Amino acid sequence: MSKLIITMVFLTLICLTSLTAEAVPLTINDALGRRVEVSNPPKRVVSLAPSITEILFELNAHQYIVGADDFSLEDWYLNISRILGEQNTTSVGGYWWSTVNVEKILGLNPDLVLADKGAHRPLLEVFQSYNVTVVYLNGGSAKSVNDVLSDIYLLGELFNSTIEAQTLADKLINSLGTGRTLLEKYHGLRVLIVVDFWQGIWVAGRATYIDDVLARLGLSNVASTFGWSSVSLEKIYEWRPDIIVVATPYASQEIIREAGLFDLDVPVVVLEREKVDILSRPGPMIAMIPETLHAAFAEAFDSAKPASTPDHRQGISEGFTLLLLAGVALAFTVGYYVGRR
Amino acid sequence: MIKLREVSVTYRGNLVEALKNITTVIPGNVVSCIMGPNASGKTTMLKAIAQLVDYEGRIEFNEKDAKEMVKTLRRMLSYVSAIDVRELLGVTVLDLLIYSRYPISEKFLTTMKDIEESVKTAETLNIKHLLHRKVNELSSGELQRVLLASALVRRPEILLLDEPESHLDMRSKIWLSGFLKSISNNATIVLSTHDPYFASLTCDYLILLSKGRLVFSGTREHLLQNPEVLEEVYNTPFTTVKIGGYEILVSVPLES
Amino acid sequence: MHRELIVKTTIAFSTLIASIVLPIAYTYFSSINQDLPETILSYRLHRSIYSVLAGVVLASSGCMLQSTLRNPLVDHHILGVGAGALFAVYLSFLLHGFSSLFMIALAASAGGLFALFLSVAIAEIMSGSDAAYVLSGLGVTSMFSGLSILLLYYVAPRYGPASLMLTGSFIHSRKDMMPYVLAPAVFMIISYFALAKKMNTVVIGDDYALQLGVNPRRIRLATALIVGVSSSLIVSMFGMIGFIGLVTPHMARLFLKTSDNRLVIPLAMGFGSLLLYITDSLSRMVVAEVLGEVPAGAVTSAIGAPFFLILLVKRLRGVQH
Repeated sequence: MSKLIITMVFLTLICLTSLTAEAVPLTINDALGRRVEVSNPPKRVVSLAPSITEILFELNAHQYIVGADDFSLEDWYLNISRILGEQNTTSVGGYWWSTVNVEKILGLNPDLVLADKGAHRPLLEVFQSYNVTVVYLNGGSAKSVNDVLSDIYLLGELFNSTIEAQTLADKLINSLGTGRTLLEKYHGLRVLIVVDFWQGIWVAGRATYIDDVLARLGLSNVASTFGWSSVSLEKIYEWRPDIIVVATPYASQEIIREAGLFDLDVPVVVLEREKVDILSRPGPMIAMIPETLHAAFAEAFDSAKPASTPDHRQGISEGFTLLLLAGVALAFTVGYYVGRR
Repeated sequence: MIKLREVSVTYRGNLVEALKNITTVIPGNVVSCIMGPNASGKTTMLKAIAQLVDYEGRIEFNEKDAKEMVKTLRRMLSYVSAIDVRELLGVTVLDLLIYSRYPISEKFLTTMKDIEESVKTAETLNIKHLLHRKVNELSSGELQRVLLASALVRRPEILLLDEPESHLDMRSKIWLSGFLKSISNNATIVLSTHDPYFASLTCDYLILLSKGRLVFSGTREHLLQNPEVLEEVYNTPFTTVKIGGYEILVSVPLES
Repeated sequence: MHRELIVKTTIAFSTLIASIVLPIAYTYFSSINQDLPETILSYRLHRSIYSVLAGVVLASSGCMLQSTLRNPLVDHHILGVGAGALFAVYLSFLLHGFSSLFMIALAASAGGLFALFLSVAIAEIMSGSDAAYVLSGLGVTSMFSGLSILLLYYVAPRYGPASLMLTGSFIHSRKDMMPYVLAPAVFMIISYFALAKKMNTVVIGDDYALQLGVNPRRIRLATALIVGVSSSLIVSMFGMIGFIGLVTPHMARLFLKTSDNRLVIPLAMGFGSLLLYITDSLSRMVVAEVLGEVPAGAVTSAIGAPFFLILLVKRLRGVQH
């Protein structure tokens, strides 16, 4: 009889300890180098970037997402937008920090907010003052594929999905490996990825994850500037790319032509919306980059039709300089006579 | 000779009557004074003659209607009043003299003649040493002479001065008085002042205004014989005093 | 005295002509034997021409406004042109997205002209005096700046880098911009001849100018319109460029020891075009290697700020008499 009681007590104690072990919070180091204590597992999560949301879906942790940014809510990858719609996930604003609706986030009472180091750093103090647990990931400011992988591992740790995380990481590395083989015949191709057109032509330079991806695929990134930088047409000409891939979410043919990209005698491939996303999300979509690039290269080099519409507006440089000087001289003479009165 | 016929000036759409029906004749080639207390219309009268404000009535220069000769007027008439020296962007005295030749300058760029005339005028007024100084760095006496020079650099036939003696020390006042008289052979000079002493010293012809109306106009002798006119306008008694061959008007100090 | 004048005049005009001809010639001749494709040669040439001409327009705008508004601390921004342009650009982003640079430029010039119209109308209704223009310009600028910030909230999430505002840059110089840059430059040169002498008299005072036969209100209005239209076109093409319009007039006045606009404007134009050309070249050739382009407008504003402060201090200390 007493043996039964002792066993019962023993069993209860074991159960109790396992219960409390569940509730012990997890401490991790985020991408900003902060030590953060997170409840384990977080049940109410807000994601502030589509790449983060995509990783969560791959890790099967999407059911915890109670709030997400607008781009996540529109994401076509893995049917994210439909699923989040069914989950009634609330929108918390745009991607950039100044467009994030902090009130909505607070209203959702989240256990954890997942933010992008580059886009959301200014919100840190706000979150802290309201005692909101926030973990920063590399996200868009990932300088290499390894940075993206560390994001994946971190999220795996947070959601007890280390196995899924490893699977995803392996999948990414493998896809880059097979991608390299796929792109064998384009090995060493000089590539330029253009991402925006405001105040100059923005390209993916050194120390961006795109740069790393291109290197791993056996391609050469012609951009010599650091980070996401704005350069002139001249500089692009200097770099002598073999192909220019335009990955902007909203640029029209008009803008690209105005920027002069078609005049360089280099094939220009303009990606459509979905392919642009593939190149702009530092997350699971990286696995799809090799195919996308392969299709672009094929279109540019192997198909008969030209990928760009070259505009033969020749610069009549000498004529124009003369015209200019004549105009100025004329202005002087006219003005002089007008002023003489 | 300047004739005014029923000249009236109103500001702010008939709310303020600055001048009411002034009819008088200002003789040529003498120094004339317009006297009166503040807000009596002295400056307005000068501005009307200079065609700087709108007026009703008729002003004639040597029998010709002023409104029909505005362009020529710019060349032959100078109006001197105080200028705001705060925002002059580093204008030098020489610059000012050259600018003042605007109506008579021949070419777009400054010519040798412009410079010569400016230097000559500066010499006449003893400010040649100030030519490269900035206008906003001058003392008020120097500034007054510079302004006078800027008016004279065009050799105007008519010179209008708004309270030219107001910021001058005694010595400069005396000097100014003498200078104006000396150039009146070649020009008709009209100045406004509220200093009867200066007026009696300098002017041969005097006009007295009160609240926009003409109270007196006549020669200096005439006024000296009737100082009570001044008393009506200034509300304080005046008397004439003889000093060294000169008869001047002074106000009688009140018994305290 | 006369010799001095001749020397100054020579310096002013020769600097102006040199500053227009030399940079363009340099760009042309240094590129001609590099075997560049037509496009790149055209790009370089046009870029240098635009930076030179923009410098001319902005510098003369600054001179003219400082004289007619009797204020040494103004440049074309005071007319509200920049703020109006910015607002219109954001509005066009919202209404039809980022469709083409030409549309952006069109919107910017429309906005700039509208703001100009407002400031001029308000100023003329007030009294048409120099202070009226400054005050009304400040008011219009504040209004459009505020509205721009409001719109930015909606524009930024979609068009991230657009939040860089319209910082002046010549990076997207295109051949078809030429008439819109040449016209203001020619316009300003003609106005220089037509108005410089009259502006000299307006600086002294409104009454002073009137008695010389110059109508200061008319000159002020004409200047505001000419400067407003010209700078609006420049801003819509290239964005907001600080420093040039504000400080080159002072530099010219200091150098020539006179404030005579007939000499100051050409020299300031010369300084302006050289400065802008050099800044643009520097950012294009030196910095672009590593950091990507730094907009010339940002550089000039950065240099301009301490310069401006020094100017202010000098002014405040100098006013002692």
